[in-house]
Amino acid sequence: MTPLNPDEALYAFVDGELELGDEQRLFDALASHPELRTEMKDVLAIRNAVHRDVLFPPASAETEILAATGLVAPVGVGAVAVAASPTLLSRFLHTGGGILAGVIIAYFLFNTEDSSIVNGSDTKSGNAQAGLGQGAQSTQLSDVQTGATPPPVAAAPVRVETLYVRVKDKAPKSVTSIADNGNEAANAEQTNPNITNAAPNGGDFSGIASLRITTAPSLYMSSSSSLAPGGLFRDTRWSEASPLMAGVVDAPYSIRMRSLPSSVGSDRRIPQSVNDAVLANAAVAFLYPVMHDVRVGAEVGFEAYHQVFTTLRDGRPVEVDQTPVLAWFGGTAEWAPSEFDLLLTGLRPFASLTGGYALAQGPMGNIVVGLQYQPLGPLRMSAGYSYGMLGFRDTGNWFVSKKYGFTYALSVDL
Amino acid sequence: MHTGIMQRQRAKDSDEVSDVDLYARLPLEDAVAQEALSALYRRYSQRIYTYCRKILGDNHIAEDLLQETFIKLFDSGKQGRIIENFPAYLMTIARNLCLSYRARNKRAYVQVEDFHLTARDVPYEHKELLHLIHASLELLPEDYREAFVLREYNGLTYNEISEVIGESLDVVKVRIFRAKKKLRDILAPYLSDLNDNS
Repeated sequence: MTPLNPDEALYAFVDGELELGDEQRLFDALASHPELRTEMKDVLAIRNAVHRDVLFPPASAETEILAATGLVAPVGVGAVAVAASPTLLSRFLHTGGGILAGVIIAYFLFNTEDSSIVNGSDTKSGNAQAGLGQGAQSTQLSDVQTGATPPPVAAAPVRVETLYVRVKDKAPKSVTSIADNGNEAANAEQTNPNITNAAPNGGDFSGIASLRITTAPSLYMSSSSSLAPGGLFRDTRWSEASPLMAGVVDAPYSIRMRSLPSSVGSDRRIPQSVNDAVLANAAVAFLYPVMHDVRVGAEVGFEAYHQVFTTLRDGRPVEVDQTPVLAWFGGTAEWAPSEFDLLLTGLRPFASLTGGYALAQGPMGNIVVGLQYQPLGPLRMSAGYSYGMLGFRDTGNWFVSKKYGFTYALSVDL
Repeated sequence: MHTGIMQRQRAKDSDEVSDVDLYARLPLEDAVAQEALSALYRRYSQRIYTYCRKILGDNHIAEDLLQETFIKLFDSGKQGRIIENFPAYLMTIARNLCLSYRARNKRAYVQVEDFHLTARDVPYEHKELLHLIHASLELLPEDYREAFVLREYNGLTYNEISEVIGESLDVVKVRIFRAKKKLRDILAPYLSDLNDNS
């Protein structure tokens, strides 16, 4: 048998495969060749590094194999895979924390509403003059057409900077602004240059005494559709108040159902955990209007996140690759400026921001930007691009998982 | 609780049984077969998974092939097949599945994101070295890479590797030697820096 050269002997020795008779020759070579000693160091360094690189299959693999062989029943459909959490109490606290965060956000947004905005019922009860002269005031003329509310007259000095006009057929070409100008002569009508809509369809403004105001404020239009007792109809409102503050009172509640990005690339096999989940990437939210075209509310969702990280198991670094489907709860805010019409009536930009806590995982959030389309009716369809992040812990270390992709949503105004 | 203790005791018992004896239990009744298959899974799943993962470079495919390997093992056990070297037999099943998969899907298997390591507990130099080893492995011929993985990641002896890949012992020795030598040559500049810094 040909004796091994020192190189070959070195590698065989490290592998424990060197014949006893060759060992002494190797030791002699090591003693006299520094470069061989360096090579031995390198080989051992590579070996140590490789031995630290331990991979474990996912925990669910054994169950899947036993199920495939028919030895155990298959895993039930709809199982939600979540990582272990220290205690049930911490899960509860984390989940409660997410909901609480959503409520706090909603509370602060809601409390920014200007109390001087007066809705239709206030007008009816004669409260329209409350807070006169304090800036943005609004009243609603939606009941003017029905004659339910006496229109303001010049004799009664009322400053109305904002008009809400409900039209069932066509939007008004001009909106009459009524104002008190001290002792100035009254009964003047001004066409607001900011309004460009079609002519009023016999809008019943003739009975309204009006005053000219020299600096007509900009008017904002807001539209919404709702399920009224009489059936579907769309409200159109004009408002001078800040676009963030107007149109709050009559905006409807809504329920939003949406898809979420899958976190599984098209070139990858769909993990069993995602296959088994009934709702792998979906969320539903109940939204409450707090500002003009801004709704906030609570949302619950189920979402898959691809997690690749290296952690320690029994003191050894282990690479973990998993895609659990997580349940999360949180608060959400949605902005969709209804004064925009992009190409189509009812087509507008929208954005939503969600923050919450994924059960037994950690904080999560996502942001969506896209387009929303609301044809006549209470349905709003949205499509956009979503970017989401999840923070999660393993053996005391925090990791972050991100995902992005297209999302679509369907909202129903109630 | 009593049942749990019994299950744990049974698991402990099966851990003391040899691989071949566990394999011989697969044709028996379901409860015994399940216990035997679980014990074999505990012993070898990590090695099979690592092999598939390192050879094919994809976690999900490795998971699939791990599953197929144990299903094939179970099927062969059900047929009462007699084997002598269980690790080599199991590894041969996994290897054949990997080769079949590779033949069906000819593409670059290693995905960069699969090498993304984020553990804070692993020293940076080790992470970096692992990255380099992963990248260097891709430069090796497939035969050399396989021999290296079976030796270093799966801990098989030269004889076992010879049995698994169906080549002579000399061929195995040469492949392992050349794989390691080439790996060391690629990594030598980095290892030199590492040694100097430490």
